[in-house]
Amino acid sequence: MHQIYHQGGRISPIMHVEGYKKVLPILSFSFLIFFVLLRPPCLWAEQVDTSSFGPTQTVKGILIDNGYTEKESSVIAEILDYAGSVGIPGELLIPRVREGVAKRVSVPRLERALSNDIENLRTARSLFEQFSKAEEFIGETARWKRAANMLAAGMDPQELYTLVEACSTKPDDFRSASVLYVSLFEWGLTEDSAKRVVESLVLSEIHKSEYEGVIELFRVARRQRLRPEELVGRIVSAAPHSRSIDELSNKILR
Amino acid sequence: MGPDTKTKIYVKKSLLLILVALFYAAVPVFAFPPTFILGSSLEYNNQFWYGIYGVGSWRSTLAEGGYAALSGNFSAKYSQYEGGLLRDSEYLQGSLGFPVPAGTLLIESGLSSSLDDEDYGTILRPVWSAQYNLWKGPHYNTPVHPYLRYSGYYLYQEAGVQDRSAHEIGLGTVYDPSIKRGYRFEVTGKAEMWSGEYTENLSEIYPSEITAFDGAASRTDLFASADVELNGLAGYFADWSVVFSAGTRASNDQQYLSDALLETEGTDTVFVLAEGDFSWSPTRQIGLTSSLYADSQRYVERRASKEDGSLGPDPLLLVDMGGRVEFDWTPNNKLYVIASMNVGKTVSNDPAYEGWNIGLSAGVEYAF
Repeated sequence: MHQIYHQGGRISPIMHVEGYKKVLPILSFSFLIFFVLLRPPCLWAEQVDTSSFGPTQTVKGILIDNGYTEKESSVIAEILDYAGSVGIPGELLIPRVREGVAKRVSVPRLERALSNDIENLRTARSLFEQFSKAEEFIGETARWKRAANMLAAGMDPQELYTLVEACSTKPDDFRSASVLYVSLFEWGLTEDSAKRVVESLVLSEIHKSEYEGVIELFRVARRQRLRPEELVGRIVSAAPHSRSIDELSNKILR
Repeated sequence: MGPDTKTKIYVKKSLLLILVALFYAAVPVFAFPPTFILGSSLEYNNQFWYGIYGVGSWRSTLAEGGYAALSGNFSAKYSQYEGGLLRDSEYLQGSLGFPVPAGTLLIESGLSSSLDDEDYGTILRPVWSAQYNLWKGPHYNTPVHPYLRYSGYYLYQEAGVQDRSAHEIGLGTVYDPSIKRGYRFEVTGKAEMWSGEYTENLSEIYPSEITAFDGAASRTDLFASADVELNGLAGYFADWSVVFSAGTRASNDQQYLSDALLETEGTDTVFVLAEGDFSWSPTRQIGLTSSLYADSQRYVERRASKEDGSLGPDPLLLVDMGGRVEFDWTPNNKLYVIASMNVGKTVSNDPAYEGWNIGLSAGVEYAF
């Protein structure tokens, strides 16, 4: 019935990349920015059902309360059961159900959306599992959902792998690093340059709450006609010895 | 060994330690490649100006988190106005920043010049400054850090008489609760001492009974001001800042009115300034900067003149307001195409000071 039902085992990120050909990279990245930077609160909201029922019962209750038939709610519940069987917590899918119900979407459309979410969560988990701190990545569901959201928005799994690799020593920095990475890419840096910047910051003593300030360094450097690639080199060389963006800025910009 | 000898040894050891620390701090760890920019522009500001300019800089990190930098620039502009005018300016600056106990110290020195100004001949203006930033704790990312700064300059004019030196001290604090928002507050005191030549020149031109100086005292201006700055990020690709400043100038200079009146007025002022900047670069190809300002200066004693030239009863009030916007585009982050416009308007209760100032500029730059 659904493509994911027939996918046995977990997906190797490298193998998976072969199937992802970016047909419209600009459009894809527009969606990516939409998801990662703007983060519409209605999509994949942080809200998790805390009722005493399991996620399947909760979802059925939501659907029936909103006028869906018993048969329709059972179809959706079946998808959540499948998610549970492949290790995807059903709670992660409840916000999507709530969103679909709020928009009054048809059951087939909701099915497709949930199936895509499950696939993206599985892919993200497969990527995390390539690294020694996989449990820390997956254990924090917000981190896991963010990675899946980035895939949903069109990010190539290989790119996500690159980003996770850059944060592999500090999973806590993943969220801030992913925002910075996407921002740098959107601004015009290559994937490799963005990764080098993120890696150098993760390795530094600069706190993750300051990562956003790196974009400003590129704007200031641009005003000084310093090429972005030159600034990348300076950040990579000076960030490991810097403790704040201010200190880094003093060292590398005139 | 007497106490004096012990003190001398202690002082010698301390000096030796400081020298060793400075030497260590001055060892370059990683020198970044120098950068050079060459540009040309066409400007219109009442007349057309054709200009070329260049900028160069070099920067190096030092051991223990310090850095050293050298930068310089030059510009030359030519206008066909009045048979041909050529203006030049040059600037060279060196900076040294390094950690010191409980903070960082930044020392800068520079020289700006104009080799052949049409009014003042050769102009030289050496500048120097030092700023100590106090960081609480071992990290530089503490949200509050006070600072103390000193700066000074000396202005030399080959053909002018307004040579002067100035010394300025500022005490302030920066508060950055997050990378997205920052605040700064500073109080500043400044003394500007004018040369004896200026004083003597005034005494020669004007009857001594109406000058304040009489050759006995040089002109001295004292300034006191307070600044408040707010700055922050606007989304991921823009930043902004707003500065409010207020202060006063006390001067023993006097404004000469006329031979007939044999009267002078003091030039003490109070001033209020507000300015804001906004910068936006959504991609590496595009940049936009803009600014707005309003600067109000009210004389305490000096009065505004009426349209017929006679003095009115009100103190002179000058309000300069305006803005500037600059847009640039680059296909490759080497060649830049730039266009800018600035508009300024002076509003005053003295019609002689009213006026507009409009400038347009277009140019290209190449970054090597």
